[in-house]
Amino acid sequence: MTIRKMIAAASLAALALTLGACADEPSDEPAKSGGQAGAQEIVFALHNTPDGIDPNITSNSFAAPIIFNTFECLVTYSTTDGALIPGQAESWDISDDGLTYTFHLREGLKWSDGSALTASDFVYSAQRVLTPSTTAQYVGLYTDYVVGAQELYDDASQTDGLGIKAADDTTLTIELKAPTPFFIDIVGMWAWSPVQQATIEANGDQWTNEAASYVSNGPFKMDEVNLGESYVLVKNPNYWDAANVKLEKITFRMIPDPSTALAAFEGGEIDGQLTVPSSDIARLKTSDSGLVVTPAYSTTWYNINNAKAPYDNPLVRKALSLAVDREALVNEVLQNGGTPAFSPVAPGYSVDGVEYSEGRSDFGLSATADPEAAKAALAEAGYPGGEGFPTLQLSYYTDDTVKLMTEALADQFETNLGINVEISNEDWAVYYDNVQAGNYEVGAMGWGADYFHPMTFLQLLQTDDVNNNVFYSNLEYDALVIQAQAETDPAVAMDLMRQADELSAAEYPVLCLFYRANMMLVSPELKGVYRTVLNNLYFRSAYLEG
Amino acid sequence: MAAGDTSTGRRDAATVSDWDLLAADRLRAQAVPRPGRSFWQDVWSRFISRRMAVFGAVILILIALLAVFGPSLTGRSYNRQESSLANIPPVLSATEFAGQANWFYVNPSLKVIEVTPDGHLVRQVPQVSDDMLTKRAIFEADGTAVQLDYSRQPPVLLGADGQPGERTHLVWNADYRLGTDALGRDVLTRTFYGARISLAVALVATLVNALIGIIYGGVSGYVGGAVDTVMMRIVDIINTIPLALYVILVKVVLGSGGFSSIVIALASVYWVDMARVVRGQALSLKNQEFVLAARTIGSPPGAILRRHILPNALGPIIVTGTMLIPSAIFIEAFLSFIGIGIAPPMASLGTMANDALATLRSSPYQLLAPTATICLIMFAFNFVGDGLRDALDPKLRA
Repeated sequence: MTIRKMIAAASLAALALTLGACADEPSDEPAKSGGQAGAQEIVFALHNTPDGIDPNITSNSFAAPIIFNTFECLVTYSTTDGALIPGQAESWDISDDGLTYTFHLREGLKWSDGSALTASDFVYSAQRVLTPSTTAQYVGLYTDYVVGAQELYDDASQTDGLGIKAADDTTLTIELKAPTPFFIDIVGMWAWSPVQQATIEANGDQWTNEAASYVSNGPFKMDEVNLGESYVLVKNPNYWDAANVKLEKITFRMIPDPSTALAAFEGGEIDGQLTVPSSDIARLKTSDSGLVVTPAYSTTWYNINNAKAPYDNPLVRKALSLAVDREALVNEVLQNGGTPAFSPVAPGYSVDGVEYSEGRSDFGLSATADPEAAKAALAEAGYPGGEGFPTLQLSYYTDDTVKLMTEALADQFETNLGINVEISNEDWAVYYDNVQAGNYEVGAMGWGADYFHPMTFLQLLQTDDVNNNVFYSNLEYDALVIQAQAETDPAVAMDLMRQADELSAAEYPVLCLFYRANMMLVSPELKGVYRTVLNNLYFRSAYLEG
Repeated sequence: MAAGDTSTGRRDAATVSDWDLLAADRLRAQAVPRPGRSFWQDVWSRFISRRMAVFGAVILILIALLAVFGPSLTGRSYNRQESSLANIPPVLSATEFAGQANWFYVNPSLKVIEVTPDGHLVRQVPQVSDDMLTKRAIFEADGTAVQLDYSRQPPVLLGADGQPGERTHLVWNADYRLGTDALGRDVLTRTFYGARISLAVALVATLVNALIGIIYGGVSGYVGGAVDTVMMRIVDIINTIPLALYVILVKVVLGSGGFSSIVIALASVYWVDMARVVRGQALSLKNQEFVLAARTIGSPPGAILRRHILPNALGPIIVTGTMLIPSAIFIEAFLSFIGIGIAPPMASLGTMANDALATLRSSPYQLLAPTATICLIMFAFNFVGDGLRDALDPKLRA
């Protein structure tokens, strides 16, 4: 089961792996660092204020830069190649049956306030997530896998049955319901990071609102919380690897409009920003301005409400999928060099050198629009020439890039299918509530992977999955996904996942558009900033040069 | 006063010195020395003697005509997209290559567009390859290759031989007079539609003020007492809540955004300023002799309001109206600008300005058309309002 981490689908697209290299090219441009020369202090612009920065609660990707730099999970990701590496745990053993994970924590781990961090802190964190009143959005990351987690969530007295136990101060054991080969990736999600019991009991749910009470265990600790304005992080001297953390201070400044941030970036006020305005990408490509393109394990699509007539008819969904010119969208409208997508599952995962999407069908779709086939599909569904088709309600959440995309889609539907389209928009919070309630017809959405495994996408379309907001249901598909989840042989699991993927994609449950790449701006003097394919941004190896 | 028939001035007595006392003359004492005119003739002559007011009125008429007939002149629609011709400015700097009939233009998105020498856009030239390391892209135009070297700022177009083009020309965009936006829509046509929305909002504001504001204020002021107190407190309450909140509320209730929510929000609250002005006028007029006289002979309150009070308050009403209309237009543009107004793809000057803001650094011309139009409309209404205020003020009678 899964997680919601709806990245502002806005974000720019594409698996332009080839572009990845141009990021780190040295440059002789004049220095434009936000901090003083010599001082390891940077200002980095974020564009959306997260709904919260409590790692146990939020599933909001906007919180990721803050949480992943202040907290550290059992495992983390390398800032050189993005591989999974030990974090708070020094090492771990997996039992032969794949059911028991034993994590050996590093010696002498400390919280940012200097108190000792032990295995029981992880147990406390798990229990906190599994308390319904915590309203943890990632509770599925525990209940789907861990023995006794669902039981504890349903009944607070069942603490003894929970399969997460501290054998001693540095040993944590986790028992799983079924062998899950990608479980080690799951404990890297922030919902699995420890939180300090003392500060939460002293400050209640206000603990994230003040720097002093926001006790963390990562490379940086909170220095100032200015809600809606900025978060100021300073180096955490109690971090186990503090000797290798070079930055003294990171100011995450909230600049809602990426264009405004770009002006600040070019004026030398800030050292980087998370999103690049699409109209400026071409211009930024021409200079050594610090445009960093990193591959992303994520897909942008539009949800189609499978439960609502006429969209419950696969032919109608096929017609919509055929009517979209993905290439124009990616190259002309968004200019992000994204890769046209025909299935929700992004490429990139491989087993034994075989890439997941190799040989995958295109499901009759093409990168450019196919108006003839689209019209034919619509006619076959009973709406020849779009006649009698109700006005399509196309919704999106307020965001410049998504707006552009939506307007382009509306025009393509109207032109290629001969139907009427009405566009509406809401703020993300309202919009997402409506989407979850099924109160929409076709709406902007996307999925940024939570762990590097196709399962993060495949779970979304399971019947009754909490994140199945398109209300697609195919029992055969469900069976295949469950089977693949428990399969210990990666090659066999991949085969099962491919079957499931082919099965669902042929019914067009969502309107796939493109696979994204992440684009951000990082000043050429700022080195070592790493953004993983999961969109986690790490500053622990970053430093200012010169 | 009916005196227009005896237009004899003192110039008739040409023999009398200007400094001598005039002889008492009963007939001439009653003479009116210039042609008599009705109040509205006066207003008109004062209005047209104010150059800025006339200028404003002409601009408004012009904008109204363009808003109605403009789209049929351009022959384009507000939402037809030609994404391959996106972000093309009104004036192109096109490169000419020897042996090629057409010229080439590089847009801010680094796409190469083929342009005829008289400024018609032919097509986007297909890209063959793009080398990120040397920053050079190759395009295939009618069998010959064109290279784009974007390692330099600004990017340079090179021929197949790697040499720069013969010369560059500045040509007017003959297909899209004000250029295209980020989705390849005609900015000029969208501006016409934007003006249409603005004028429609102006119409709604006028109607609301005339229908609700005047009646509400008139009743409140004329009846007075407890009724006045209650009615004005309601106005106070309405006035404390910003219009943007009403629009959001209406949007949530209606479940969809767009023009209707702005119209409903305007209609429900935009009459309060007018109501206050009319109430003040009614308060001061209702104790004057002509009103007392009307009451004495038994005129019903409705008739007194309609026949005596409102006509006498007409000056302030018209002036308030012409000042409220531009601010209504601006409110719509502002709401659309921050994204809670007109729903896309419909063009409003506000949404156009917002869209243009995203491309401001690469295509600044896109911001010019909507903002200039808003400026013109606002100025025009304000000039007309100023002119009317002066023209309607009997104390300024020359």
